[in-house]
Amino acid sequence: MAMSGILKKIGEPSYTLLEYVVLITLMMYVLTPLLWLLETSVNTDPVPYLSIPKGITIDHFIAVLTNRPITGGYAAHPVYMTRWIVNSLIISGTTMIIVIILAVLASYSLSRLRFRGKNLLMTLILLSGFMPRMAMILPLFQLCRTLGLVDNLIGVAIVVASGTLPTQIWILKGFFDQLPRDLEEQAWICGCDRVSAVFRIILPNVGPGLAVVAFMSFLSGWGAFTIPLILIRREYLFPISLGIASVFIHNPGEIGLVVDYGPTCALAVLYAIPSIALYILLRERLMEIRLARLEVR
Amino acid sequence: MVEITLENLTKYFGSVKALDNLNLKIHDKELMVLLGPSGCGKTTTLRIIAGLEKATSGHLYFGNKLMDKVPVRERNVSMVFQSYALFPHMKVFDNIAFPLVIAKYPKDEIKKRVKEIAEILRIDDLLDRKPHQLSGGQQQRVALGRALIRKPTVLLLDEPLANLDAKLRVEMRSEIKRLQRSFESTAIYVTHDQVEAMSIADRIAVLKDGQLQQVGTPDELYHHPDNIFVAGFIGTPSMNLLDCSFDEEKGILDFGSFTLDVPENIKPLLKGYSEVIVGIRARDLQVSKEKMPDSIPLEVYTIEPLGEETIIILSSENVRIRVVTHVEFKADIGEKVWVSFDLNRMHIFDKKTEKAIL
Repeated sequence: MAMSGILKKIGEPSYTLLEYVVLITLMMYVLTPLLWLLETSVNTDPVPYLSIPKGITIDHFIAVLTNRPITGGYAAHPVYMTRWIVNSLIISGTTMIIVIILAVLASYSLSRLRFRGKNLLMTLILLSGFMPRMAMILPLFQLCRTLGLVDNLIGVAIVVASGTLPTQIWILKGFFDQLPRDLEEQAWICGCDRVSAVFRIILPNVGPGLAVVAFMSFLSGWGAFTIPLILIRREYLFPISLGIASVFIHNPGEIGLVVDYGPTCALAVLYAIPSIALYILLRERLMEIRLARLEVR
Repeated sequence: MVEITLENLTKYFGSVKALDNLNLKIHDKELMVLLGPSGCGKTTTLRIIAGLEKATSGHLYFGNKLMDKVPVRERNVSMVFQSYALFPHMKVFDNIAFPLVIAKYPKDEIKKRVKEIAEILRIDDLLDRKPHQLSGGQQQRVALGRALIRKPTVLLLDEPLANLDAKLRVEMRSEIKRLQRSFESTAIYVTHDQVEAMSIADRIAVLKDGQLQQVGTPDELYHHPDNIFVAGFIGTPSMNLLDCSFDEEKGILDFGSFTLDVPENIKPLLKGYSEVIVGIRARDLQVSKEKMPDSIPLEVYTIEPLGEETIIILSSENVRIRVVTHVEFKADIGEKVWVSFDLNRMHIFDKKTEKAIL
């Protein structure tokens, strides 16, 4: 058996090898920048190119998290890195809360209620989801200025949420649509009113859908760049995305100083963590989505 | 525990008429079956009674109380859906307890009553399971438990046995009847299966195209169908319905390939009719290999042995007749046999109005 297996392997052109080559190339393509980043963030002597670290340290992380002035650093501007992390958390958390509340209300109504102009409304929501935010940035900016939402983290969250909301409504509506109406009607018969039926029966059964919406809306706030770029002026109100960019943009060249690669990369690594953590946290729920789709009769 | 009155109920879905001026009284503690083919409006009727659907016109009363505008949750009705609609995220215990939890019963009371009902339904060892861990029959029992725990005024059952296998179906239908009796609820049971309807019902309301065809006990419907539809729908095998014309002068019914003399007592009833339909049940026909008095010759078309008895389908030109005979009667396809009609057990319908004359 073993022998014939080997012979067979020799006889056939080895696709397995080819598969590995392709896979490894792909992985290098995706992972190299990440590795590079990770390496620089723990290097005792961080440099802007891929190098073999002379020593390993977590000093850069401590520097970021404690806002400590960097020893031997050259940063000319005050470092607000800890503040930036908090800012990012505020923006994404608020975005997530706004999106979940509004998406639940909207998608439930679109899924269950009958009203005039529903199809038109749904088309409009879909279209507004396709629209790039930047196309509307002038009116958005003016609106925010009038409402006092410039240099305001909540303001950023509101604008970011409005951008991701249409997509999330459609996703969640899909989950509501899949849930048999019988369940809800049974809840009414058992004595629930519409609202308590939603909370007791519907929402617990669209858990995976809520997880997806939470995940995606958090990430849309976490990764936001252009909206804060336009709405936030003060450096201490920057989210991480703007912060990292600012380090690269106005340190070197301008006044001839050098970038503090260590802390900056440490910040970048920290920036990547919540997405991964959230994924791991919600992984089971996210996996259920496929099951939920399969259960449709 | 209440009498239900449907008064001129009409329901449109868009331009489709689902219910057409339905009038029906369901007595206190009665088990009424709504029977009819799919799309006849029986489920719509049930949903209007539950409050899940609003009638386009007409009224619904529980006792003397007008229910048209009473919201679902205040009607004290229970309903078992065809899908059972068990809450997937709750354990069996919580599913059954749900109506009491919503009604804010004290915890001890809830526990006690869930236990009681679970014992009656023989699911007391399943209380910690989730619905997806149960078999169809068990899910059905849980759904029943949840429906009964509140001691509802009205119990609504929408094809509750449709998703069970044949054996379990027979078992559960006697169980449901027993439970309904002991809980003294007024029950409305929807089905398209006439055997199920006959076996479970106190009275049956037959519906077709949103119109009420006939209401009566299983017996009445079987022996005295009001029209051709009920005659053909109730009973297995279904009634033979034969086109013929009545010749008043000769006093005969002319079936084309054969004729039958009309008994004297029936003649005056047929006065004035020419085109009629004769209905006769397969069990009211006698088949024999020899000529009997008043018998007609027919050819054997197919034979379906069923164990105890055999269904033989006979044919003659344009006529096809089902006969139930004892299993010992053997015949070959194509063989000529003699059939005699028990004319006193015959039904006669007007072909135009499809209503029963006799």
